[in-house]
Amino acid sequence: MATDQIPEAQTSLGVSLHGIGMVFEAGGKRTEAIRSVSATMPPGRFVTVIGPSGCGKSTLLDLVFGLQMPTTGYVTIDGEPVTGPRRDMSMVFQEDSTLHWRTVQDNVAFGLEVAGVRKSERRRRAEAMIKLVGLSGFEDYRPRQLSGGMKQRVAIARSLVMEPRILLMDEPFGALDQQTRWRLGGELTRIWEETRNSVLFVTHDIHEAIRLSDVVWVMSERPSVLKTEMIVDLPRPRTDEVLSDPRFTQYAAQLWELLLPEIDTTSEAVSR
Amino acid sequence: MTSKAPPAKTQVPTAPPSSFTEVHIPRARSRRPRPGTKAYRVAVHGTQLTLLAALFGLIELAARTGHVSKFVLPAPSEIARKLPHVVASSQFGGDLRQSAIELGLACIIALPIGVIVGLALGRWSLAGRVLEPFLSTLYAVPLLVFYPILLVMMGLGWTPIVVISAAAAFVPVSMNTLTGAKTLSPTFRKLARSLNCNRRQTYLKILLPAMVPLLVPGIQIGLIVALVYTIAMEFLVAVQGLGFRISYSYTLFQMVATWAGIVIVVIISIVLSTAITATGRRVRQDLD
Repeated sequence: MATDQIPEAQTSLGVSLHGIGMVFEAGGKRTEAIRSVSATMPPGRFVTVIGPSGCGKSTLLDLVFGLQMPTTGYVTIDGEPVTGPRRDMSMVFQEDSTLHWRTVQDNVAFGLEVAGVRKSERRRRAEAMIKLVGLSGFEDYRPRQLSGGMKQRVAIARSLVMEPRILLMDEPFGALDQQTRWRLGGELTRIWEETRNSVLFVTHDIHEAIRLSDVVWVMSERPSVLKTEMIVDLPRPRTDEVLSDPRFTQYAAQLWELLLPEIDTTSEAVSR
Repeated sequence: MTSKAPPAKTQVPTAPPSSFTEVHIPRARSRRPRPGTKAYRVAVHGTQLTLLAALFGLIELAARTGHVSKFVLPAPSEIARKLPHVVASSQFGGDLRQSAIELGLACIIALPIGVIVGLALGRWSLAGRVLEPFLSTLYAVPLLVFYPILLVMMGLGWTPIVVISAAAAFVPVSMNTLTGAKTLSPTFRKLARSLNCNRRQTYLKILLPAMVPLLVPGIQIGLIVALVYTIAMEFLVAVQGLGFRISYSYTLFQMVATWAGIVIVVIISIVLSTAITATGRRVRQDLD
């Protein structure tokens, strides 16, 4: 019965942000995190949000997911306003979100278990996903026995196994070293090129943004607005060779140019 | 530009200067067992058992040689001999049942309420801020001082015993649960919402297991505190129960029976405490 609510179809969904703004008020202090962002994310695209730290990238993701409601404006998914987390959306967090008392297998199957999917089917789908993220042979390990990168693979598999039509990723590789980060980025690209769901990915890493995305949204510093939408026109399937593509360097230079003024003022604001 | 460039002057690492060569440092292989090996566990438990045996041997020796009056401490061997008779007596059955009912009731009341109050205070931070000082003050109060008042209110019987034991056990359980709830990573709640967990799933499958490292010690302390208060109250007000039997035997100078009662109470507390730890380990097999 509950099984029916899990979308089997892989048709992806588009997301529209209609002038969303977010203001936090805590302890009498008013912080305007997001001033106004209007944008459209076409279905089946990999979109990355990049911007200086503290510019409200993660907040933007929470708003799309419905974990928080914007103070102004609204988000629609295929025309429907977002009021809370939907079953056909899934999120990967920056921090370790694996359940340490469960094995890799049971972590990956957790969302299915919660949704009431039969045990045999849970097992089958989790195993397929574990294989896809390259964790075969680690099914019975517990998170404490895994490296940070492997834990994030578990978290990604746990999201993908729900077959989300929109996948939200909040700096999933933020806590990893550069090499692990680049390698996992490559694997995410490979997986995404197979599944082709809509992905909204938050990062502050310029190279990661270009390597992964079809579109990069560049945010300004707080209170943030959407500064530019940059289309990344690089061939797919995208392998590590993308690094030697001259366009890659051009995109990186462009992004640096867009971001540098933002980073400067932000650091000034912090040091003041 | 000549095609024959001089060979690059790269320094090939060679052997260190001769003054460093072949200094033989004898490395004694430690004969101590390493942690995690079977030999290590044998060494640990073996030493513990030896210490225990030595302690009992000393007491036995002191009692038999008359260094300690047998009105204070009879020989352990004598207590051991008497123990089966004490346990087999119908009187003991009644005492054990009485204490078990009191302790059981106190725990059934205090443990769930303690956990629920702790969770609620962790969830609603304002309530937590308001009530936490009250809880920690209660922690510091020896609740036993209220027994005359409770006696006046509830009369002589098991009710005041259960009330005071439950109140005492409630405090550490709720405090530890509150600490556990406050130190939970906010990612767990986000995860629960993102997977559309209902409240039951959120608590039973995510939050409570995550809190086990603080929850289990809280319940353990609660249980032991309840046992302490039950026995202490039985000393004071009861006409049946293990605590009553210990103090009553003592007033009759039946030292062996007194000590038999003490031994049984100690065994019960060890068994309960171990059972709680084992349950915690079952839930969190990743910890050790």
